[in-house]
Amino acid sequence: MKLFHRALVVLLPLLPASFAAAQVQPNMFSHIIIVVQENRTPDNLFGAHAPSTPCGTLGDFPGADLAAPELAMAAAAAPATLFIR
Amino acid sequence: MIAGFDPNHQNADWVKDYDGGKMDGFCDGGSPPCQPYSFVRFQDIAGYFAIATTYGFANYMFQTNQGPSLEAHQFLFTGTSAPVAVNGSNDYFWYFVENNPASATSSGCPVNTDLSWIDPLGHTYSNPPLNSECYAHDSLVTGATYCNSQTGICDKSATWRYYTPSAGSIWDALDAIPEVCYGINDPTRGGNDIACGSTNSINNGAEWSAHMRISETLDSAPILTDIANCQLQQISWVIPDSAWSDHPESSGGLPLGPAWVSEIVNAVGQSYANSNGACDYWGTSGSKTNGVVQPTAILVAWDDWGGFYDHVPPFSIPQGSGTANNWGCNGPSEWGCGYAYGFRVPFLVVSEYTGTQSESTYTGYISGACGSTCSNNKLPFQHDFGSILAFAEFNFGLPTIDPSGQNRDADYNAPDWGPNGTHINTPLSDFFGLYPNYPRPFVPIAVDYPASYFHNYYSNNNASPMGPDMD
Repeated sequence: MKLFHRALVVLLPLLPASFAAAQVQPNMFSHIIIVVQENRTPDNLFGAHAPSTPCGTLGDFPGADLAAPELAMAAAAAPATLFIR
Repeated sequence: MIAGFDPNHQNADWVKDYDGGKMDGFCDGGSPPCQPYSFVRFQDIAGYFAIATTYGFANYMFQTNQGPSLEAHQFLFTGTSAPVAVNGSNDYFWYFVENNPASATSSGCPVNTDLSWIDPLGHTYSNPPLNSECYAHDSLVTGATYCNSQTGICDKSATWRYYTPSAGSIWDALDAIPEVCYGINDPTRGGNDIACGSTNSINNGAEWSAHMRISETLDSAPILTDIANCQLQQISWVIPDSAWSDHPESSGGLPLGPAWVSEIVNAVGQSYANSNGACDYWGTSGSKTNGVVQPTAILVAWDDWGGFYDHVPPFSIPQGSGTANNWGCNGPSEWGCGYAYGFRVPFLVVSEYTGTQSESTYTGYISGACGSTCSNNKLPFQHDFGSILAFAEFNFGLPTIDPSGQNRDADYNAPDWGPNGTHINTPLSDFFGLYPNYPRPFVPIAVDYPASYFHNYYSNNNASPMGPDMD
């Protein structure tokens, strides 16, 4: 435990300024449900809500780090066929 | 969910997609080409979008492994896909099982050469030097050292269930552990076609039978039944039927995955009313003094990237150095070298403590939210499957998988613990910023398919429980 506290003291100044540990406690939940779905990425699943510019705050999902895949495909000079599935 | 194609997503495809960090190799030669750059129609994910914007969404949840489903489910249950136990005479415990077997089913704890391996340098072995072993190793909820030889139960202190559509599939992570499969740490049973939980196991496979909930023709949704009956265990893994898994080419063209997850959320959030006050799995309705209030966190993850495009490079691709018995990937910062980390996968969190609050208004929380730039791909907002294990261990006071931290075969890392294994943060804790003073009332998620649709899916559609395909 002492080692842990020493490490904490040494490392805290190195943490990002925005870092603030949440005040969680053991047993705050009586149950945890882990739902496992299949085969998607954020850009694929939520790409329809991506802002018009990468990392932009416009659109209906501000703050989400999404890129419209078809824009990336165009940037990669991939064959210009769009898919919306 | 509509997707008439299934992009390749074995480890070699991951390497191609990643393209040395350029993230531009996703075209897979399908017809028409570059289908992995498609995205899902917004009307098909209305449930997911409502959950994400009402409760919690992760910008930076990374799949732990750079491969497909079998290993991903292992990482979500045991924190590793190492193929063999620690052995003083070889170093193969440093490797990982890389891809899926040719067959999606097994008959007991697997021992075979059908599983390719990957070493700490990222070299793959389609014909591994040894058989993959059925060997004792910890999971989040079990361990060989906890086995009771009389009862055949090997649990740590938490109650748990693993809901799955079919037995013996690559999605059934617990089958790979002999003490769970057979109720005893007896690796010699593995590979002998002794099915997990069979009558040849200790106490008729008491451990496996006690925790597996396999979907039945008469009830396609046993997790919803258990919630309705106030029978929820402390930890539940919920593996979907193929029809509502979101897996491409497996959903019959209907967007059932978002409805399925929304029904689980609604079942938890409305449990107090639905049970006539017998249990409150949300936490804000019942009396705090009679045991009815049992707050629940719902963590929704996708097992792998499925071959689809994503624009954020994985945050760490540690590669080992050296040679056999001298691999240079011992440190926590290099955990998983050769096979970690994978691409981002979606991640949703729902609880009474998840969201942002302003006066009496609650809205959704985005972990690592972008401002004018997206600059929060860092601590404490980087998560992986180990973060799920770590948070559950923290919440229930469970012993950490391999607390010595010395053996990579049975260890795991959570990037939001902090740098170099410092454990200065509780993984996933940023999702619970409303704790303890601002628990929020439940807001139901609108769904097009009622819970009865899932309960009766097999009987109403002349269908049988359907597990995964080969990937």
